[in-house]
Amino acid sequence: MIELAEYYVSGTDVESFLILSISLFITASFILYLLIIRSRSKNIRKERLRAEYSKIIERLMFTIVFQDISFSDIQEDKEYMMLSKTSFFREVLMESIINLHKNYEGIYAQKLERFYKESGLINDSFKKLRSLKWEIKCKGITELAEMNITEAFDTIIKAATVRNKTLKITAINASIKLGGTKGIVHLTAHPYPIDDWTQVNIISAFKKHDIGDVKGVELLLESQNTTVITLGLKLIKELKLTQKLPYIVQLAAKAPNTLIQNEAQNVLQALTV
Amino acid sequence: MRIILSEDNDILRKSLSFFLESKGFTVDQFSDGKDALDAIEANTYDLILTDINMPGISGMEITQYVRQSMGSEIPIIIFTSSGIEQTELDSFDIGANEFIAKPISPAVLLVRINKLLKIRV
Repeated sequence: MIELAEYYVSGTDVESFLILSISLFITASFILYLLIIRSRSKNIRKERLRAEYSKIIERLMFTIVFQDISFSDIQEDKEYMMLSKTSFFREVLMESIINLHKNYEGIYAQKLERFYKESGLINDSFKKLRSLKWEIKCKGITELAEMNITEAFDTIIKAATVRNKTLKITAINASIKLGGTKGIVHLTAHPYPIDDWTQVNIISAFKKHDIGDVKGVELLLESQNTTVITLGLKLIKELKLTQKLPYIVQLAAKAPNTLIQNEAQNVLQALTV
Repeated sequence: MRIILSEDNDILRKSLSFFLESKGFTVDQFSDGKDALDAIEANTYDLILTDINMPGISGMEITQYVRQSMGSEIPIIIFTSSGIEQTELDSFDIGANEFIAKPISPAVLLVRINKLLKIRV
């Protein structure tokens, strides 16, 4: 750089140096301009396609949900036949079906689940689950959990043991939705601390999915990991699991440290008042 | 029977509209609370179906305006993804006739709509 500056100050070939610099600048600007135009037109085209696909998908979805039409009838639909192999169409279809499933319950949700399986969208979600990118993995996990695919439980629970916080929370939430307390029992042997944010997410997942069977929550109190014990105590307190009081009494008597002992006593007090 | 449906989730709004129209209702749908309120002021509806969280004006504000400023007794059904008890209590406090937590069942929604419209008749 210093050599370049000295060369410039010396005045030798200043003209050609300036011409070269300006040319380089103009070329770079032009290439950048072309890249922006290309990316912009790609996005515009994608949005146009999305709007186009949405119309077809809405028609298909409403027919599936509100009219008794089987998947074989849908397969005969000309537009569906033409587009069902297109990856972007499947992406928009997946977004729509997940969105609608979140808002509907009962037979309407079941019809969407059936379509999700029969159309092969389920395979797209499993493919995402095998991705090396954590954000794609999260997407796959969320889709499978939303559609209540219990077969995915074992694979999802493996993802709950990773260090990536977002992936871990997504996987634990999904495991709780699919397997209830079975989705957190593995945390008993969890080697890393579980921070407050993750704990709050786990508790809210229990509340959100209204998990009735709470068998196994007490196992968290036996963990060697004190943050897991704290999570167990918080769960028992927040879900008002008075049937777990004997386990808390035991914990209070032989707690690994005074902090846990105090927490156990606080929960005991809160649940016995 | 003419219903106004105010919901910002596109696919939910369109699907509910499709469902209600298939049951013989005329549905005017809006994704913005302000537009919905303008339509309520300008037209006559038999029932208002509104989500709470919406751009422009919320479903709560629509309900409050219809009851307090317009003095109308038109049946109002509020639906929301919030499962909080207080939200439900607040909805009834400001004058909603029904509260439905998402996820919803269109069949149940239809029963409630019919019930409200029959009561009105």
